[in-house]
Amino acid sequence: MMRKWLFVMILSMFLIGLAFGNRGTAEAAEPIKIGYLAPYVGVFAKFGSDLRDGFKLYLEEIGNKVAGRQILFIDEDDEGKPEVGLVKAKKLVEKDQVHILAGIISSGVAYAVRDYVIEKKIPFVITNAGATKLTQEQRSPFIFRTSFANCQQDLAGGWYAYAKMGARKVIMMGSDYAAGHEKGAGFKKTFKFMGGEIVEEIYPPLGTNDFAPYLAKLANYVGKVDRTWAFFAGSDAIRFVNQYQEYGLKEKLKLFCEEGVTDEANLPSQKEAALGVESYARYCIGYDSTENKRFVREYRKKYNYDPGSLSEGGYTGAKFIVKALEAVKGKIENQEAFLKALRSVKFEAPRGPVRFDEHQNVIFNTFIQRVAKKDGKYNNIVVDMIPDVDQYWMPKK
Amino acid sequence: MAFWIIQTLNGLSFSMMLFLVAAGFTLIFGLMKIINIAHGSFYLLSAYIGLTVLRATENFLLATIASSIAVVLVGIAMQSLFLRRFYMKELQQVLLTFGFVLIIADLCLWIWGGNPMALPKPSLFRGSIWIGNVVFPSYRLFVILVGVIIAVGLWIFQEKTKFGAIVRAGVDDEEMLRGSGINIQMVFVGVFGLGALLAGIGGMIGGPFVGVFPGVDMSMLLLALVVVIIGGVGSLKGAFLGSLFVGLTDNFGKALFPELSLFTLFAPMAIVLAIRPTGIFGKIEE
Amino acid sequence: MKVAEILKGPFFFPFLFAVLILLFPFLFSNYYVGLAIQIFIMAIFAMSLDILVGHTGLPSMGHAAYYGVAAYATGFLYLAGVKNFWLVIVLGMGLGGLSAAFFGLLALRARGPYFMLITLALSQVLWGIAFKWRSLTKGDDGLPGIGRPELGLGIDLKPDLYFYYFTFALFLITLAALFILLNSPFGYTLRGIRESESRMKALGYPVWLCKYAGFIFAGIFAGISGVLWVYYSGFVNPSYFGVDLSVKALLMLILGGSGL
Repeated sequence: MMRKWLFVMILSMFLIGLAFGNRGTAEAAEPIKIGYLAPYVGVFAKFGSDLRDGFKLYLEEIGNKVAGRQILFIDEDDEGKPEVGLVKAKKLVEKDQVHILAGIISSGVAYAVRDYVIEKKIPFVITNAGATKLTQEQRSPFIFRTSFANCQQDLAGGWYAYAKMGARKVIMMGSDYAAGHEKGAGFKKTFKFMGGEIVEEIYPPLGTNDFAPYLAKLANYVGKVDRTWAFFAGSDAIRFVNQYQEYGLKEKLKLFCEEGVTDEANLPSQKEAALGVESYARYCIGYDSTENKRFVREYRKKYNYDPGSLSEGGYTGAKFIVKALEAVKGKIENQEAFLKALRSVKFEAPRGPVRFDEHQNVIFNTFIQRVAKKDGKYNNIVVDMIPDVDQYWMPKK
Repeated sequence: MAFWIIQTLNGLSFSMMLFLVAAGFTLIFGLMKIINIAHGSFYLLSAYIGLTVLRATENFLLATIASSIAVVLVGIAMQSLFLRRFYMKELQQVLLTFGFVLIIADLCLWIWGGNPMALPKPSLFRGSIWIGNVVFPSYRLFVILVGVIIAVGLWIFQEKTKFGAIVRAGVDDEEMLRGSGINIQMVFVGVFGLGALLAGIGGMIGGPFVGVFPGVDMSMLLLALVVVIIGGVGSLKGAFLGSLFVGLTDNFGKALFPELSLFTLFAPMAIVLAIRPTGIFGKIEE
Repeated sequence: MKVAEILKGPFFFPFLFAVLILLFPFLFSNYYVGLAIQIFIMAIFAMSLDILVGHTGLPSMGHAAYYGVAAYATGFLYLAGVKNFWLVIVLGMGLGGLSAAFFGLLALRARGPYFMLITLALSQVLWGIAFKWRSLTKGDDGLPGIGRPELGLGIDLKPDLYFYYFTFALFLITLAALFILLNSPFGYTLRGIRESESRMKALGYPVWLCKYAGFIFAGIFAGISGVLWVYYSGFVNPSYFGVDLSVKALLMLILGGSGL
């Protein structure tokens, strides 16, 4: 009997200690916690690390501090899977008590996390996922996007294909998930608006290793179509481009892609297969501005590899957040003020001038780029530029 | 016309790689009644090890030998040190293999990272050849060749050698085999090692076009599962035909009905399950 | 006096745990309350599997199938505007049972490892369908934005705190229901089948029918956990049919001890 009471007492002491010790020591001058979600496994793994490297580069440039407060960067792997992203987001918000949630590459993950973030009233700064609805039908004062919307550059690309490349018929191939369909829709919209025709749309599943069955279909269209539009991300893009060449399509049916396909992250694995391929992009490493040259130099110095659009995405995303924090003198707890400040941030990013539109999605210039070889290295160079593209951009006919 | 040729060849190359993985799986299941969930892990491990050796030596054959040895050792260790303790306890064995899946997967993630990679092809087969007016990668023809050679080799092994006869007997009736005085544990270890070897070779062969990445272990397992259910458990012939069926169906399914590609894989399996649960060439239970 | 009696008797520890569970949310932060909710739901899932594994001796490796079916049903219904908990839970249980009835017909033709293989394959079929049928299920992106159900009793389940007690209550009800089921003559029959099918057949029991009934019951109870999980996490996707989930349930049983 005594033993039972002893047990109860010890257990209660332990639990109470755990419980109240768990309450946290939330006081002033506590660090600003930025929770960060990205995939480090799977199709987007390389993109995930690029994004984080860019983000951290900026944080380091400012010494990990803003207005005298430390910035704490808490990083979690969402594996590119919506269910995992949701679980990790909960962990960041509830266990780590982050002030801001940032990152996210996969649109699927972004959609899954959206309701939760709004319910918990956490500022959500998306530094990559283009999930269109999040800054359109499903927008919220808490959701910001510093990267692009799935359809933004694609709208410009569709127009460019018709107006400047002279394409009239296009066949489309994209990854079968939210982003693939949304980007395809963007390209299709302006291309058809200008009078072009989409001959067929094929969407292989995300994570397809073997594009053979689909590429064989494309072979039928050689000579009947002007261009292949393609969007694949991460490792899918590497395989796609390589196999595109293997099946002899590269010369016979030119590609015009979304930037993810021939991003700097992929070029070392694609090499010859990507040479000469043109794409439209929010960021081009070859862009000749002072800020970009400085950024590329610093990035190469620190990380020993070339920054791609994800790297710039992370960097610019971090800068948006920090500029807003500076404007409110680090008082992230005053959420209203922080959100207001964030809305009005504008600066010169490596990709050019950036700012938010009314729905809190970023506006930027769109590049047309091509893969070139110089001194044995493959990089994108600028071919053309379309200024001030926002998520609702339409060409003037 | 060229379209059909290419698709058929594509399907065949995929089938051959599948066969390598499924053959080992079906033998292990047929003889030891173990659902080796870790079978895909053999593929994974072999492809990664092969990749590292390949990067160091640029010799595909050497890489294949190295990764095969590694995987066989792992397989033998799994069977002789762990699985045999649960002899006749199928559920425990299955769960044990699942544990291995997690360990191997995490180990590979830790060593090689999360980024999907593709093995470079052997230098001999880097180019593409002309078929009609279409181009086809020569490597895939190589895969078909390898698959057929190994299939023939396995057939000879099963039909003409003593060990093969023992395995066939064991799949048919294990109790009799034990009764005949043969060291059953050695047989088990041998078959498990053989299964691992086949899956390992599959990993090297498939590496260049399927690639290697976290998760490929489970995708390979799933495909092997479908092949074995359709083709029949314990039967190499079933595994071969099942692989042909699955590989070609998957390929044509993707090409002709991209929306339904996974469905074209599972529907036949469900049908076979409904009509003949042990598969087309499997043994009738009890 | 009653309390003192309880404290002295064999119900001490269960009583203690009951008290702890009731006080839990006041001692720990929301994150841990969330974990506790997940534990309750997974416990229901594992217990439903135990009907098959522990009591009937049928090692099912595709138990997530019935869980997933109920989960998707819950998701679809919510997004279509149906939020009445009572309606959905009945439907979830019904669908869980129905899919089990269908799969049982296929799976029960085999025994032992073949049974395992078939149950595994069947749940993978559902996974494949959920994954590929994007127009219906949105594939791997899944169905986000599913909120809490309406009880119609004036209790708002939105705060995790209330949902916690709600889940705990359902857990207790399921526990009681299973207890009754498994201690009934039917339960004994199942365990008899586990021990020796041939003997039961010789004694005149309708063995196949009993196994089938057990299969369906397992599906029904799995359905409960599927419904609850979706309401908790607010999200469904093909991973709910996944083999890792099915295997996790098996692991839970092994660790905790099955056949209780």
